Amino acid sequence: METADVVIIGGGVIGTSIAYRLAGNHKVILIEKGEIGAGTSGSCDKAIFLQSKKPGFPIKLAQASRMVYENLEEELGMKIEFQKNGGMIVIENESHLDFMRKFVKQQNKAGINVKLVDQKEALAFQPCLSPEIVGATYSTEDAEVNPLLLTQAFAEAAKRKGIIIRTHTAVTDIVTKDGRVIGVQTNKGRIETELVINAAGPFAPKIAEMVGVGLPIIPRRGVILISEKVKPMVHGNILCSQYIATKHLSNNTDAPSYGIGLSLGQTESGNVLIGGSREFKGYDKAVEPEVLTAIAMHARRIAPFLDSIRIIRTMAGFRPFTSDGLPIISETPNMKGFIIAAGHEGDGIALAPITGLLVASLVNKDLKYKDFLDPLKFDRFNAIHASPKQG
Amino acid sequence: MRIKKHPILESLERKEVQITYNGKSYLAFEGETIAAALLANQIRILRYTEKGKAPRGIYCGIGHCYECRVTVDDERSVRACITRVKDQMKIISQGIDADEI
Amino acid sequence: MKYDLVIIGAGPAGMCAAIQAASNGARVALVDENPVPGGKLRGQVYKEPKSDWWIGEKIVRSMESKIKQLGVTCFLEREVWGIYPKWKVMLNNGEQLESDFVLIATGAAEKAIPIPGWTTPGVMAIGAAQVLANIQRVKPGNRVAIIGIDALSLTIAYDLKMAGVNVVGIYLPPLNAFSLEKSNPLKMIAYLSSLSHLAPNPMLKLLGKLGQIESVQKLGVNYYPPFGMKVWGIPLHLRKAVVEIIGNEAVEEIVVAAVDQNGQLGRKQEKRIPVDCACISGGLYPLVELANAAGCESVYIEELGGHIPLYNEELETTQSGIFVAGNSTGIEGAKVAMAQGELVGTVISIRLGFVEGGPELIKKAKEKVNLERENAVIKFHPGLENGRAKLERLSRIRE
Repeated sequence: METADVVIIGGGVIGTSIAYRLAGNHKVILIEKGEIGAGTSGSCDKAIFLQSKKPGFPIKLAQASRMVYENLEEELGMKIEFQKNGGMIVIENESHLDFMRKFVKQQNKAGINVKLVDQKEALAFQPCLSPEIVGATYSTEDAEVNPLLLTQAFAEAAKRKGIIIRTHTAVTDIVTKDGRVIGVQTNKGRIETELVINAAGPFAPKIAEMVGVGLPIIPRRGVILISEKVKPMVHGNILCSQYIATKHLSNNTDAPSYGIGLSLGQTESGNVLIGGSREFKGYDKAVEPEVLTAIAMHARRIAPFLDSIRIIRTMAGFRPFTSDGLPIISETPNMKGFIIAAGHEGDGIALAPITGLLVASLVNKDLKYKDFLDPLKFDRFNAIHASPKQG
Repeated sequence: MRIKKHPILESLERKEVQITYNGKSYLAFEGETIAAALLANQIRILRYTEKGKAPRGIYCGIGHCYECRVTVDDERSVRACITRVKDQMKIISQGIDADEI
Repeated sequence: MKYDLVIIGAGPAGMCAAIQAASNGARVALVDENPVPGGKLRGQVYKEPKSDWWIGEKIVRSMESKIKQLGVTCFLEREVWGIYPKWKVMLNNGEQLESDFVLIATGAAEKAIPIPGWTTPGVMAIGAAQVLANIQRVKPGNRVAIIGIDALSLTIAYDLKMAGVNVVGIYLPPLNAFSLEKSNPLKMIAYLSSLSHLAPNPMLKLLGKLGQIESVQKLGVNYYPPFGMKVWGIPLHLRKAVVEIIGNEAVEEIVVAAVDQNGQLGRKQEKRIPVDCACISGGLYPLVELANAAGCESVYIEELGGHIPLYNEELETTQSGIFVAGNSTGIEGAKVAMAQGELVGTVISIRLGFVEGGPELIKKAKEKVNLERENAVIKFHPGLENGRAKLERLSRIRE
């Protein structure tokens, strides 16, 4: 029977980042039910925003991850289109101004270089914006990356270092004995292992169920429209204050339908990515046409040039939502050999580099990242855990 | 380039119209597509790519590949291969003007 | 707007379905992105084996007037961007057509075979050359090379010849991940032999015979003349591949190299041939994006052109109320498409309660599809029957 030191479940940006960090020191098999980077990592935008993160620990974590990006392209030996083009949060109406002013102050205190600019300045830097906007916040620290290339680069670098990747392989069960993992059953055979890493993103709860653990991760559906190729129109990435309000204000009463908040960026090839919606719809990928229309209508108000360009396709993906907006990167109480690395919601791309390092640290049992790992522990949720499976 | 007499197919009776392409005036026949009218006038380049500014012409001929996108009377990304000419139509190669979107 | 039936694609299948359903009393909407109906049928011109010329344009014109008479509402120059339950057909200008029944008859597109230089203006898919010559009446070029040997490319070579175009030769594509068997002379000989003896033009007929000659098959293509063989005045090269297309603003030359019987390039020198147009033929595949988007299950059947929606004997997909006809069901000729359109029009008329005597009518319509299939003059894939059997098996399992 096949054996492995570690089995990683999930070939998205999180799973491949972990695989890369574990490579060389362990015999690792990565199992992916579809293709590498074809799920959540293949249906997201490309922004690595710092300024939008919550002050305190979330910003520290994002900063640490952002640091890893600085040399990542060189390290992985593949183009990932990492660019430091800055980011902007557009303030759409006066009612958001106060909130955003406070927000900028907070972020400055947390060490983020972000400033409030008026309508004129915003348009000077980003001529594609509507003159109707009130102003914007701008940070040079925001960056971007091609998530498809990033995931491939992690996977290829991991493979070069000896990791085995099995695509089109689905995990059907996780075999346990006396409260510890002893193997993984897939539709293509069984692998004996004492350590499983659950990096299945929005599907992580389904994997955790196999060892009788309830994960407080919920799939949140996000939809992005993709335009035809046009000449460079969007510099860096753009969010709108509505997005920040939706993300940070728990009692945001004027929340728009379908959880719509703008995220706008342009790929190197010229396609404009227009996001997006945030909806709890289970695992249903059938997006109602009204959602697409609403995203487009909201985006064109902020960036009127979108009126004259064609949408060539749309993509829907599930983001792994947690109630406190942070991922779970943790061992599992009552189940030995089951590490969880999921729940990044919309920050998977931003946090993938640090997640790989954190999980490697957990596996190697060093205490290098204790300060980062403690707040990401599973038991921070007072969730009701199902009792571990007997077996 | 026009096929005036076909051994099997009937000849077409079509009205002449005038179109402009990148500012120059050309004669075309009512009912024919922009791509056909331009080819009949010895023009093969319909657009330039966004990034490398490489020339592109008609490829699939059925509106599927979108290689023949032109701007028609200020409307972007009109497919030259399935759009009929109209008298006084103003056609511009997509990607030719630095100021267009 | 509410209709009894919304048809997407006004080609032979869509038009026939519209006529059938509307003549039974259904309110039909017919949508197409082209400014005129007819699809690829408008470009077809060939001699029928036992009768007169089959002229697509004429057939389209007569169907067009029937459609007008019957009051079918045509939505031309409209793109469909989605089909939503149950069922709303979304058009690009904001219109929304509602119906319990939708027919997807979006036809086929051509598979690409990338060759160095293939994006140069003047390089086109072989089907585009047919559209230009037979519908638009403009020569795709004065000196045209055809790359890829199959039923479609040979038919269109003949079309071009009729239109007075100088076809300088028909060549193999170079061996790459996209051309595969199409670059292999031995496989091409076997393929040619499978072309029906009823082939609609003298060129196809001759090639069919050539392929059937045992010695040619046995000896492989070693004795195939290096200068090609002229068929209907057009040199057919089974031992030469076009390895590059040259030209900056427009095609100027093709680079031709000799290949061995497996399609591998030899060491012999390459030759440059001046042309102003090169047509690539990679074969057809069904256009099924809309069916996928509507949630119809799909299957992959090589012999039918690739991915197709799974459908039953009445051409209904796994989404109830959504039907397919024509090339969306697999690559076959226009006559099969027309019979399939009639079948769908009949089935839906019965379901809507417009006609009585259901089973008998459906049986007749099905028989017509099979008859057209048997009498088809062009077979696009030698394994068509196999492919259809596979599909029927899968469909039965699903039910």
